Amino acid sequence: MEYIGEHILPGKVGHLFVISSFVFAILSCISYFLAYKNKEWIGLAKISFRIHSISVLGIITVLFYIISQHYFEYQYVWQHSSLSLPKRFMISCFWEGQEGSFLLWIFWHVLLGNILVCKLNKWEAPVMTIFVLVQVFLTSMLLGIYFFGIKIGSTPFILIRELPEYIGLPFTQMADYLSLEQFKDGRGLNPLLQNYWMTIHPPTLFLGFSATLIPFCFAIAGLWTKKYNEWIQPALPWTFFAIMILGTGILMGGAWAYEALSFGGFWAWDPVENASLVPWIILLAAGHLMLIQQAKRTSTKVTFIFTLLAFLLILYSTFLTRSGILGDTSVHSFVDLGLNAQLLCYLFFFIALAFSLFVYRYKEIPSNEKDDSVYSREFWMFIASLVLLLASFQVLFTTSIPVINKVIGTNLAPPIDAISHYNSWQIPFAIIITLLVSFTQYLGYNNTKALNKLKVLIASIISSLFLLVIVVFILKIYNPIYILLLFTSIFAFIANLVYWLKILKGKITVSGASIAHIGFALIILGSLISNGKKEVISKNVSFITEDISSNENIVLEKNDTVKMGDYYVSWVNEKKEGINQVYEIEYYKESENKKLTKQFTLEPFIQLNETMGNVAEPSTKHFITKDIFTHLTWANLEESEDGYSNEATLSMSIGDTLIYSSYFIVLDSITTDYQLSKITNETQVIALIANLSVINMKGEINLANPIYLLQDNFVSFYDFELEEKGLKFRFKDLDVSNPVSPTLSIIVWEHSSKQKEFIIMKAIIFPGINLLWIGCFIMIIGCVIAVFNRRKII
Amino acid sequence: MRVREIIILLIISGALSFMLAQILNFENYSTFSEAKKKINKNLTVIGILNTEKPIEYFPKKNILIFYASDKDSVASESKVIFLGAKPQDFERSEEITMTGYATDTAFIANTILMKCPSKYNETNELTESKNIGVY
Repeated sequence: MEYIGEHILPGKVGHLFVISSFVFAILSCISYFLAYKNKEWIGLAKISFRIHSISVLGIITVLFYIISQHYFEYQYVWQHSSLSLPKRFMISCFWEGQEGSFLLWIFWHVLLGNILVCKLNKWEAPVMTIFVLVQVFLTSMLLGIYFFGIKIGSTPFILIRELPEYIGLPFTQMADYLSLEQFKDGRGLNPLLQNYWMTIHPPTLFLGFSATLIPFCFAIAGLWTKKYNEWIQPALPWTFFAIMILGTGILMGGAWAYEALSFGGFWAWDPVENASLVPWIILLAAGHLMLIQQAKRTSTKVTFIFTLLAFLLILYSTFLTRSGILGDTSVHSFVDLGLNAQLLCYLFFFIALAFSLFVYRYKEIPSNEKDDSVYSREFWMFIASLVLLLASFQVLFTTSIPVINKVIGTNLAPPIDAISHYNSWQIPFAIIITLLVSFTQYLGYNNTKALNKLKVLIASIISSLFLLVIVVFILKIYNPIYILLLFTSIFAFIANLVYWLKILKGKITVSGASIAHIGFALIILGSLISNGKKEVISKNVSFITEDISSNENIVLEKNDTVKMGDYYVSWVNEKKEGINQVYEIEYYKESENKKLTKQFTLEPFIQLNETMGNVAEPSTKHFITKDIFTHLTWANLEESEDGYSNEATLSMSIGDTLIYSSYFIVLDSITTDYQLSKITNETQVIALIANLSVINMKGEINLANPIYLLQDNFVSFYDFELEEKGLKFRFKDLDVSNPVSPTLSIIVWEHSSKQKEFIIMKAIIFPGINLLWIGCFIMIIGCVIAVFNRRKII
Repeated sequence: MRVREIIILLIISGALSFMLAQILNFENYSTFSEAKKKINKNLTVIGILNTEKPIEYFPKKNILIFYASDKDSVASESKVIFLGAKPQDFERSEEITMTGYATDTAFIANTILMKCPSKYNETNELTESKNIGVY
């Protein structure tokens, strides 16, 4: 059969590119493998990798083409884009779907791989063998072919009518199915992704994932070629590059959550966030161990373990987030593409490869017999790496509860209050780490004369204590654990600053470590202050019962002014901007003469999102010392045609009284309407009337009589309107399971003109959050300096 | 033995005992029948939403009241008071994971996480939109 209006060619070309990228990745991998022993193969390997790279670019071009041309016959285009999608978000379609996000990952590998090929020289064959092997696995995820009945990969070029779940449906038999209403436009990109942060966060994170592969390849190559120490030097700049990019990606996710989600914070210890944090911590530890090995030729085995682990954890987190196993514990939902077996293969293949190679070479890996001195830098860096391992292990373990349940059949529930669970474990780790960060630099490698630096160190301890007293006094932090962390992070900040200015004489080139550590200390400081001293100013006074803590939300009626913390707030206006319903909230402060003066306006909004559900997005006023974060918890979005809203279903028996709005509603009786009812041989019509009394605050009674009509098993209703009160009633259903007192379902609406409009809002003050963001920037700058400095050494 | 090896051993034993402590400490997913026996204890319960009973949201108090039961017993049905806004498409969810505690009249939930069948299975949605013409 000929289908009308389909564009088959781009899909065919795209699929051809997928297959050629897969085949040439295999060819390149094998040739690189052989090239290690026999140099003649290197030419073929290089050419195959180039063809592989061109094919990947081809896939991306074709996918981009069909998205921009709105060819909705392709499932990927239909699912993830729409006619109204702004051009600047088209690229975001790539990371809404799993296939596209694999493609993004593959793309970064191609980019980094082509840079690597030029720089590697003698390392090319072994490193690229592993590197391209990963590409083989990744491109196989896009194949979308059946091999002896097993699905391998999922192609982004499949047509809607070819989807296995639609095969046999009537529309697949229609030649002109594309003229059906549902295929004229795509389902569109999830509006959550139509956000500035979401266009830069995923690519950065994936670049981080890709960069983590490079130290892994070097470590494997080091084991393979028995150059147990030599691999460190070329791998180091890449490791710090990966630390920087992956860290930036994770922090961007936090910034997105803070700016655009109503989590009420930048880090919620969500499983998906944790899944990328854990590999970063391990990579950070691996980077530091590599520095020790580079300087001292010790810790060789541990360095291998950490470097290999970092990439394996990336694979594990890929499995966690893409397999749908986190469904019960995470708010992020991921569609299961049926690739779980393949994802597990990917994971276990590299675990097996890394583990067996490491065990095979274990005896040969040199180890240093000399004991470390407790006064040496390498000793404390080593300890710090182990503390990082423990910290990440705690996060990993709790995040993996769903996996543990699957594997050993337990029924463990994740911690009830995740944030306080993780915080209570991670704060002690943070104390140790910041303490180690502060003094370790002052010790030299090899137990050298630390005495001349001791004076500087003591001076920084004293000034930190001094600063601590001031900060504790100003912020009124009295929790001893918080004070301890406050001290260690201030100490880490000052000690590293002083080290850079006094001992390194403020030189930029060698300052990478000090600057990155200053940034790290500020991040910890900022998180501690903003979370430890965060203040919900929108406490509500109404409560349900005594044992339920009063609500952290405030009710704002339109144009009323309500006191909230130090401010007075007023909801003055609402407007519609595109898909967003924006609410203008004005903040006032009382001046000395009791007059309210306007301070600023915040505009939290609700994104009307049909695919994912409406999303409340916060609005934040930034001050230098604090942020005021405001988001809506509820607003009336139901605009009905007849002006009735505020729907409620009342479940009542005869004689019951319920309260709705400002009325008592009493069900007096149920009667039959004889004029409407008729029972003949042909038809049976039964009409029931609910007789309701509506009593207002003054005691005035109005009657309402909605009718329930049952005609040959078809139900219809005659709604009853009480126009002057602005009430509408519907007799919706009747439950006669208890014939003595049947239960009625009455739906009642109130007309908007009679309602007082209101919204429910939450407002939080985050003090000192700017320390966190400044810390992020400084840490990234420190990493950049470190990368450039290490690159020069090569 | 070197200092370093002692430290590694210490850390490994620390990690193992930590794991054990956590496993012993973690609560299992609970049921309503269990929750009713342990009044006031914080638990995580997975329940099935009863869509036939009313689902009421009171915006001014910001509480959501609905009824849910255990997977295998209708008798365990409990009134649930969730202290928060009603999530979008709440009526369409089947399984609900909630944390909170039971009182003698209702289960007070602090958080709820719903599993919506349609989000996981796009096929439903296509057939749904095709059926609309019948009504």
